[in-house]
Amino acid sequence: MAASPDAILAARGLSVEVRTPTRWLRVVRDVSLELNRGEITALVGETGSGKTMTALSLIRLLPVGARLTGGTVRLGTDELTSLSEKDLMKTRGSRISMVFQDPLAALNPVRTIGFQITEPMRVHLAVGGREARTRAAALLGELGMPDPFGALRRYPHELSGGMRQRALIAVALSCDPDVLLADEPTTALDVTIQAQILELLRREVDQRGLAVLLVTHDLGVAALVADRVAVMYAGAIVESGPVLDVLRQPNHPYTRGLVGCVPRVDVRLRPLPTLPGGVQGVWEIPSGCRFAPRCPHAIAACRDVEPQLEHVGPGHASACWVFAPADRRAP
Amino acid sequence: MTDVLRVENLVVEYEIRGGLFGLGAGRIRAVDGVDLEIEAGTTLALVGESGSGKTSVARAILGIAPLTGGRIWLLGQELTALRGRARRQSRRNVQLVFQQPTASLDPRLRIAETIAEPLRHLLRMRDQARRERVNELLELVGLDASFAHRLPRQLSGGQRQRVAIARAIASSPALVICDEPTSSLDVSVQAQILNLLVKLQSELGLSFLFISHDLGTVRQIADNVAVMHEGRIVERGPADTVLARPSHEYTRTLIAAVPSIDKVTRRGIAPTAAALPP
Repeated sequence: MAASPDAILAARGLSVEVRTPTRWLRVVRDVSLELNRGEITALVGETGSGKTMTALSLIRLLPVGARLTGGTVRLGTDELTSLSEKDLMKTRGSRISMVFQDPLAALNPVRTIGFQITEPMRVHLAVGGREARTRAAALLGELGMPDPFGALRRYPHELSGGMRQRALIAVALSCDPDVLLADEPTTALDVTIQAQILELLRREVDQRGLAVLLVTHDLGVAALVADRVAVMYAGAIVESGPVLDVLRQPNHPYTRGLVGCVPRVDVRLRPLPTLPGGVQGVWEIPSGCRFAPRCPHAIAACRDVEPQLEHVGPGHASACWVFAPADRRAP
Repeated sequence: MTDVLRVENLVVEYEIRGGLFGLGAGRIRAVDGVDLEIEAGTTLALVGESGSGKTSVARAILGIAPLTGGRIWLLGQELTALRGRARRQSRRNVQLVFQQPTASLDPRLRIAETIAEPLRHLLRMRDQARRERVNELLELVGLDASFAHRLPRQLSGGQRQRVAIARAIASSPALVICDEPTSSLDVSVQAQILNLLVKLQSELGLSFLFISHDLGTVRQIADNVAVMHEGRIVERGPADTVLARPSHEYTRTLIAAVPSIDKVTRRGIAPTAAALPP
């Protein structure tokens, strides 16, 4: 797909490998993503699909034993993949920041919330202590924390899960970044709290013109807050596009299957539609289409040649031989 | 109809540790006067958010939570009055499937040994009979006989949960308590496990107490629903009524908070019921 000029972050051809006892395994293959100002892009997929590795590779925060083997990441006018570690550290937390799934693990248990929110401002923006605290309290207030100044003096264990996640978002937004990477930010929360946090995230995106990559396994969450969605399966994006186009009229058989087996509150289905088999391990990716072994529509071509992402609608792309537009279908 | 389980005025309180030398600083009431009935062969879902007390209810039925008050009958027998041997005997009739199959399976035991444990300890079955029953159970939960000799780490999450289900139904219990059995699974696998539970229920006449915070899952599996909030049941009734036409404000809030593909008509806006497309 053509690179849009106003994308604040554009990643091209990202590939990540992880070390196993015998060899390097490719867990992310040729993933391209664009994040636009004022937009939430959801990266959805099941366990092991490579969505977290993709997000981490954008800021080169891959865990030990994983390496980026290809691809470029442009942030504004800077090429992140060629930055030195020192320059990259200046970027992380100021221009790109990250929110993780478990706020209790992400926050430092022996530092106050105030210290943790003001730290990025003191380090990156050289803002003085008093000024930083005022800004931190304003930010917490904006994020719906009752008694923001009092909260600055609290430790993470003194806060509820929802309040901790607000504090973590405040840390991430403290330097007014261009891009926020949020990895399952509401998965550990109750649905009512999740709804509050998602609403808040949406509001920050609209007000600040923030670009967000929202990593989630929950298609409902993606539908609720995202503008665009990319569906990952076994290390590759198999479908992407405007969120309602992809989730309401999915093209790729994997997306169709995934959407079909989400249990709905409003109807009871007997039996519940399922996808046959389990999630493909990256160690057993076949030649041809990676979804072919589980695909009810697979034809001979699917097992021989890997389909590429092709447009199936405005801004909507899918990698499938069977449901491609007529002129691009497999021979 | 006969009730498999009847719970009356259940109260569970926990000591709060704190104060000097960890002396009791007070008590917290996790379950505050809960009544439940489960008809034979049906599923009751107990739903609520974290801290609502739903797991404490399950633990009280299993006899592993401190019971401050209330009575529990299983198959007409009052569990809360049983002691010693009779109490242990009653355990074969109520079994549990946990949320995390990875944590609930012994990593050093082969699958066959895991499934055989209740057969050995609750039913005192002999070797040959046990082996036959294990194979029968594996088939029931949709696993190949070759799984018998594998270790949990060689299995996927969904396969592990099938093993946990096989172990739970091994002693032919009347009631199986499922505590968030699919919340650690991917959706494609979750659907398979839910279908398996429904199949086992119709084939074996099992009754389920299904504990969950996920209303979509509950709609698929439950006959009846009880909504818990702060230790009390705030609404109960047939699943179709409670989830489609909730009468309690809290139930409405819960349902409204569930993000769903079908609720959204445009970015970020959940429409009211009147605006929903037909």
